[in-house]
Amino acid sequence: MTPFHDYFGISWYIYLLIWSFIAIGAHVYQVGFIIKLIRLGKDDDRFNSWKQRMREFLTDWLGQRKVVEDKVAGYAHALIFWGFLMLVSDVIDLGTGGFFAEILGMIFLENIWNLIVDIGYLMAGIGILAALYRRLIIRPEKLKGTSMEGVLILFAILGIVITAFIVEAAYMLGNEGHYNYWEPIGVLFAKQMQNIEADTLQTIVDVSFWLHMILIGGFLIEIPQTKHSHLIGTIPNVMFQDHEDMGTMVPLQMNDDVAVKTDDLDFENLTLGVNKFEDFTWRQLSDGWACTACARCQDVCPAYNSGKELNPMQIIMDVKNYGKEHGSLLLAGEAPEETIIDRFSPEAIWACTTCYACVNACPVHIEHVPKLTDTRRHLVMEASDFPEELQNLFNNLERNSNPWGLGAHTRADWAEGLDLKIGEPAEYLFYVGCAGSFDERNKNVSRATAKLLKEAGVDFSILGEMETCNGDPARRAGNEFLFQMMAEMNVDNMNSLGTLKVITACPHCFHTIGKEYEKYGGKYEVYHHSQILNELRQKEKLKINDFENKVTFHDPCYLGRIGGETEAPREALGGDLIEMERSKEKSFCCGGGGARIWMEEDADKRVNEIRAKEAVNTGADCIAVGCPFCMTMMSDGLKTLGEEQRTVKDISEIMLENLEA
Amino acid sequence: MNIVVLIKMVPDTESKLEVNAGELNDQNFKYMVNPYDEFAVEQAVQFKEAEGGKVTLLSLFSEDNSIDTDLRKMLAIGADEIVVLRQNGYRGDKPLANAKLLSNAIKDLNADLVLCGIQGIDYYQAATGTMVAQMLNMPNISGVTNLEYNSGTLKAKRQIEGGLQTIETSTPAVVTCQKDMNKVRFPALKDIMMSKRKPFDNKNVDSIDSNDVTTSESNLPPARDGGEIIEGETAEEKVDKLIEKLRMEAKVI
Amino acid sequence: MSNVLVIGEVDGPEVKNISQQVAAVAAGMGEVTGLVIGSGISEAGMKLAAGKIIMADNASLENYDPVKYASIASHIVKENDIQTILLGATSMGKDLGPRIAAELDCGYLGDCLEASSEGFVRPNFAGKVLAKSKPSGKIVATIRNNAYPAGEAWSGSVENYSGDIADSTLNTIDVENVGSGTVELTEAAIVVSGGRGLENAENYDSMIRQLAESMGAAAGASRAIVDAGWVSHSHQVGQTGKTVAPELYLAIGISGAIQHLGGMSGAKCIAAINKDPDAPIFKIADYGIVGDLFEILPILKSKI
Repeated sequence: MTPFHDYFGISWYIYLLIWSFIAIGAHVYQVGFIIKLIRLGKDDDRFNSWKQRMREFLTDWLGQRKVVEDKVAGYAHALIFWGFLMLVSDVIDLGTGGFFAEILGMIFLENIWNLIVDIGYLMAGIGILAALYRRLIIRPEKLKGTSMEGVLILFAILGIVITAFIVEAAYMLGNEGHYNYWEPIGVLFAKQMQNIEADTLQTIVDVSFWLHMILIGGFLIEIPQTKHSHLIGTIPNVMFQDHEDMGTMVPLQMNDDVAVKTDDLDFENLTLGVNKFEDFTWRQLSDGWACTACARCQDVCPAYNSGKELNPMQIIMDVKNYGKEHGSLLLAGEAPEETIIDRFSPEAIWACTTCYACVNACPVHIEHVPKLTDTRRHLVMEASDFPEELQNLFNNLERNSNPWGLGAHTRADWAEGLDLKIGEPAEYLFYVGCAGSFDERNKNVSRATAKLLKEAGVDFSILGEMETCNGDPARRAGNEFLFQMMAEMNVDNMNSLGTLKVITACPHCFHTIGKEYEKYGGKYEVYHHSQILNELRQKEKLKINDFENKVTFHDPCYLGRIGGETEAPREALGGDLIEMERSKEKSFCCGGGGARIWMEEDADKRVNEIRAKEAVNTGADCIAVGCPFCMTMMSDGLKTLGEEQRTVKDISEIMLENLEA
Repeated sequence: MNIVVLIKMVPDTESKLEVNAGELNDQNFKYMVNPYDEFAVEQAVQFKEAEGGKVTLLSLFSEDNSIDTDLRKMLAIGADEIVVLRQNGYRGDKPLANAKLLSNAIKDLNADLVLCGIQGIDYYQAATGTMVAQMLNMPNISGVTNLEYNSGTLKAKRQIEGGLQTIETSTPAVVTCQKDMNKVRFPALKDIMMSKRKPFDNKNVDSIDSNDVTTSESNLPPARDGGEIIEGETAEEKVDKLIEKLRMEAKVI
Repeated sequence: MSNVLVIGEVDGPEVKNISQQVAAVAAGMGEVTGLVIGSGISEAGMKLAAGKIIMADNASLENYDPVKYASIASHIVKENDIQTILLGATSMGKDLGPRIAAELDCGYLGDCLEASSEGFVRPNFAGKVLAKSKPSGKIVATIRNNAYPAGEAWSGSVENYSGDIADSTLNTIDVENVGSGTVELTEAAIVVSGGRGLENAENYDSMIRQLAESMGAAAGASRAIVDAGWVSHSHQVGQTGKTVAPELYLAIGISGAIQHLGGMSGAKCIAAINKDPDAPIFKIADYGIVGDLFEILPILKSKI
């Protein structure tokens, strides 16, 4: 029994043709529109490293590698995804009235194809039921307040699965009871349906077939509009994912692999940052249509979790919605009155700490942070519209080469009495950083580090007064121009000293000098002090006893998640560390990055208090840190919580305390 | 409205201060725009935006042109052009001589209003602006916290002990600006770049003799040695000691 | 012995304390002539401690006008062969002084810490350098408040000014009293600042504000207590608040984190009271008392 007959005197395939025409037409039209929008974006050459990209496509797209990091929702999705990949060809068979299966039969593939399709529908069905269970029964916190759209869609695709089985079963029943065991689930359905009267059964199969086709057609029409655009969007997004080191920002202008020098920048033709839709690169725009609204980025975002305006998922939705709403204007080459910055909102833009937890969590390789740092660039360098506190920061960096505007000639005062090499060539350059040079609390860390290095006989020198801020706060705050000037100057200084290897106690210096200076002519081997100190400990050049009290380690974002180093600090500390739940690459930001430590924060929305509380809940007496910002933020956090009896110490300080005399 | 803004380049106060044999070593000074003068530039630009006219920046300095970039930033705030008088042997602590050179230059500029900061952060004399006014035979209002202009009349508010004095005068006049008179805008990068095209005029001027007082000897006050924790048996004793030190040693009360 | 002119100021029925300080300094430098300019100032002006006092008492001189006042002063200087002109470093003195110097084409030294027939000392670079000088010709100088003690008030002979007064387009249309309690934070000579150690908003009001008022100082705050809502943001001193460079900064219950230091490290003298001996503020304070501020502040207030 099949649905392939005339309806009201007109052949079934006429109806199908018309419906297909409408559905496919609408789909292609919309997809075309989206592609045109995305092509408005600037160039971004990711058409390279094809072997690697193919591999990543297989593991990340097909293999759902990042999706399954969430055990419940992830595997449910994987089942639905793989299931649908397996069953998708069935629509061709249904659409051709069984002709497709016949062709396959001619090359002996019909049976295996049937089996694959059936298992596909089954997997999808299981996945859908699991997803529905999660949404309707478990009701996780993060989904609170979301619309019923997700549930409706799940029911719709469940409909597609069930109607397919009904059509299968009806065919078998009509085929004189010849059950096709290559379609095992179809057989199950057939067994349940075998006692239905012929007329009723015909109606059921007709309704099922058309429902199936209407749902599929409906999907084709709906996919480009809803979060289902990710069905299309994830393909280019995953294939053309970012191969640069995480957290590295792009210079204003590049000449091959090198940044164009400040004096040579072509200001006439340079757009500084992003304010218009087409200021984004095509790849930044395609993110909008790859987003599945899974909210994993939102969950890990420190700004969002401290009640600020910023929601990383909303930013991505904003890109897509803005494109949709202003699409016709944009494609006509006109500028909508509302700009991208208006849509994001400046409060959201300034709330980001650039911790990259969002980018790390995203299963489809969306790059949230650059959209925010790019809009910051516009606000700082073109519109000159940015938080007042940053004005001081920029002036201080420019004039006194440190964020506090303190006398540059006092930079090496912390080293008094330590008998260190200053400004001389040595095997390592200990790049102290501004906090380590000027902030009382962090001067201790510099001293502890220097003492340990000396104790182990490491040959190192410091730059002394010649050292300047590496420029990180300027860069993350969007003042790329100032950053570039500072980077060029630093590279000159360091190169003239013949610097090759650098040790630093600050992950921001570690990141900026180690990964971003290369484009300005500075290629150095940069080590975080925990890496060197750990090596010394393992090689027993430093005899360190394990600490005895209760210690937890707060992974700095720019060392752990962005820097890729989570083991060295732990091994350097030794002992029995208590781990916070959000640790290593999943560490929760202290709130200091992205130049936020220089900006005001509303009292009831403090990121550092959230993290300090998390640390306190481990029961630890001491929070070990590896970054001067974390040191400040965690100490402040403890104070606000009234937990001053607990201490915050740097790795080097704990090691020094436990150094065997 | 023709406005002339006087800008002084001053050493950064965070610069290292070294005194050798009674002479202050100024070899390694880095110079910056006197912050008080920035308020004057901003005020001038605001007037220009409201009334139309021209804003000319005028500065007197040595031949060292490392200061040019910072001066251009002042142009980027919205001034039209800058004239820099270059004097071999320029000294920042000669208000009479400097005022004379500046007044001569202003005479050629047809100013309705001359603005500058109340004082320089190098010598804190708060003298040059007022002296320029006298030499140009113009009235002056100093330490202004609020300035308005309406068809040829200036209305200024200045801080006096325990109050605020509101003064009106017709132009031309000289006004010296007090801190936070307005909010100095941060020029957009584009404006900074575009300001490279505005006229930047260097004029050589000769040194002149003057009756300015010469410093016979410079000294660094005793170094702030990280401070003294005041000892005492009782709180009262400590407080007494503190007050005595504040009064006699530091002379701040 | 040279002829010294002291330009004094009055405040109501009395001569200002600073003018008496200047008069005392002048007495050590030569023959002192006093000059008081204003309207209805004769009775108070007579108390200026000078041998001869010239009163320029005229309705048109009611409010300070640099053009008019300078013309009177220069006339007197020329008539009486004055060599040294001294004023208090007040808002009037610091403006009138330079105008007179320009009119007489003579040297000017502002805000002097020391003045005598041996020479003058004044501060440069925000007080980080002290410059000595021994001028030989005519000189105009303003003397800083409290650099010298005031002399006794006494009356010498009184003369009325009979010379010309220059015309001026300046016209004072209002003088508003802002009240002595509210001193502007960034321009105050003394700042009394409080932090978390005060424990609550009421303590800030009763301890910091009251102490500030009694000292004629401005009241400041650390960010911690601004965030806690004890004071408005306009009181905040620090990286994200106001930068102050007063003569004296009293840090009470403030730990001295680097963000706060950025706002007050330019102060000439820093004194701190904190119960934590390791508080970073003690590293930059000139004087510190380690102790309970609740015990110390009341004593300080009663004695200061």
